[in-house]
Amino acid sequence: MAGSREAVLGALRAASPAPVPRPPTGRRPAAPEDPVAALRQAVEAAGGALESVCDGDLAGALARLEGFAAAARVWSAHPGLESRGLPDGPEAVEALEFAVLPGLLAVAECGAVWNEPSPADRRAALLADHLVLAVPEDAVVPTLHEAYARIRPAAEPFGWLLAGPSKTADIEQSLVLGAHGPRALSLLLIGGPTR
Amino acid sequence: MSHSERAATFVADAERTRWHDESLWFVRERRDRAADAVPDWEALRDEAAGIKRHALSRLPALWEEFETAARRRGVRVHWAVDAEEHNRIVLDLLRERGVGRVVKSKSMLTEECGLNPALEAAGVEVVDTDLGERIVQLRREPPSHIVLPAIHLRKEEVGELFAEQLGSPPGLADPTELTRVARRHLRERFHAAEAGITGVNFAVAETGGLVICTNEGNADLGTALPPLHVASVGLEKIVPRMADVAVFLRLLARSATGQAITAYTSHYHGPAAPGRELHLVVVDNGRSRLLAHPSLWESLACIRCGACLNTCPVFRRSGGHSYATPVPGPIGSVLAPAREPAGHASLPHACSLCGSCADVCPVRIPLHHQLLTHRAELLASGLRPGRRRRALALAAAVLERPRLFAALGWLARRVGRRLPALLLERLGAPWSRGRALPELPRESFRALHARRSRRDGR
Ligand code: SF4
Repeated sequence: MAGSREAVLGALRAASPAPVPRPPTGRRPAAPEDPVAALRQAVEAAGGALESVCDGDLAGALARLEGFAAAARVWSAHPGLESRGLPDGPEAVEALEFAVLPGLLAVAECGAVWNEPSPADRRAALLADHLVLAVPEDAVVPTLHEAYARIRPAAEPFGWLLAGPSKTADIEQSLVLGAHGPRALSLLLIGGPTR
Repeated sequence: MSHSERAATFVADAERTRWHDESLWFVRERRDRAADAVPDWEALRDEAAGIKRHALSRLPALWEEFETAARRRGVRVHWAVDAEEHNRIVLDLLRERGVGRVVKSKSMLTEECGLNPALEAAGVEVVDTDLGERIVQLRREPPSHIVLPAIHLRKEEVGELFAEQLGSPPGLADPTELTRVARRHLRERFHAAEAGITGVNFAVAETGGLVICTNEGNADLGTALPPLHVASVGLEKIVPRMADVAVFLRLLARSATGQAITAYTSHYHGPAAPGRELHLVVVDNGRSRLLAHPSLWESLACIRCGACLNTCPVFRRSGGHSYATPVPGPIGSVLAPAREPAGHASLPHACSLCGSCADVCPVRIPLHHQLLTHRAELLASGLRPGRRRRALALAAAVLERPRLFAALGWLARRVGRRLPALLLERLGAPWSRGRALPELPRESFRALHARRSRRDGR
């Protein structure tokens, strides 16, 4: 429909108001004194939980999550953890109890974590009951401005900011976690190994 | 039918009106708390308003930049002059691939285009997957709010609906249990779907990317499972750079629901894997015409947060359906008459000009000024009832003549005090419906002022 493309762009050209210059970039707020405390507050407000993990001990932190030790089906996209109990085939992800994904960074102001999943990891993150995101402790940024300065969304076909479990308040404004996706989200802040 | 006639149906249920009003005010208060917690909130609004106006002033260049970048990433870009063409493009894409089942996430644009009826008429099953939208879809009615589509309904009504249509046990009225019922029902539909249709929150010119925000994750399930993703976007939704998205995201969810950010903010740059397809339909449907208007073009800056609906005293008390437009409330009252003046001439009058909408708008659209602009234009084009035009002409004639004004005031105070109250109310109808006329004073304000000044020796 090449005709429509020209028609639309032509109509826009004819209708465009006088050029408006770009506004100056705003002054960004000062970084919070305690970014981890700010992040914790934001994650909890979004219905998630934050756990600080020392010594890079991902396995230990996971074992402390309720239900993880007994979980039969765990999907891991994290290099530090093996998946377990996955049957073959596309139905594999339907009955997942946990999905564990690495996050590139976490945003203190809003509690969101940036992650670039493969299509399979993305499905697992949407279909598991409990989503776990593991982010290096030194990758907490104050606001989304610093986040966008660091991430490169266009480098991958897909990337997302995740903040808390799936939720809805469409029935009488009552908040319900787990509208479609995970009912719980844990953010693990992984500290470096103390050697 | 006018807005006030349609609102009459809603306000007839006083309990529902009160509850609707309070729920939305509660959302407004959450927005206030979220905004207050951001130290640079007002500067952020300035920046967002500036970026949007900058972008709107150079849409052709931005869309060309977008198209080049998006094509490089394997996105197929289609252009639609109007709603009909949009629907045809979507339907052709589905038909060519033999798609019979579609899941759709929230998109006010597809609502505006009437996509669902068009697909259904062609035998395609469309399931709206946002919980609120699914509820109103099952009830065969339009959403009543752009962010909270089922805000006009009580949980008991949702329970009845689900019992009837989804086979849940009758009498269910717990929001969590009802949400679980919908989750199971929709999970099946997600798996069965052959295509996912979504709206778009931001198209990024620099990268050719699309950003889509949801709380439920329904747009994500709808695009992660089926192999075909068709996204529809209005011409106004483009921003120049990826970094601009940060500015809007910090404003959007806080303005909408008081959350810091939506649970899912997904960035698409081309199909996720070989064998998958991503199509984007860019829609004009009256937007270029609106862009040409000397002042109303600014309304294209809207990011559909819904804050102006939640704060509006008229919207809160009259319900979204009283607007009879895909987007209701203050912004809808600006957009609809711009598109089709004759059909929506009463909307700019469903407003007290209190300006609360403009106070909360994250992109600083001067909504109440725009409604006033509409009123003047509608009056000039003869689209308001003759009664109203004549009344205003009469008022103007009197107000322009101070002596006549004083004489008529004198007469009204003399005669008015002697007229029976009932007759007076008839003269004031329909204004006096639900209101009592105040008692007429003995002397005019000017006489009172003159007397007091003399007494005080001024
Ligand atoms: S006009 Fe402003 S307040 Fe209203 S929905 Fe649009 S962005 Fe939000």
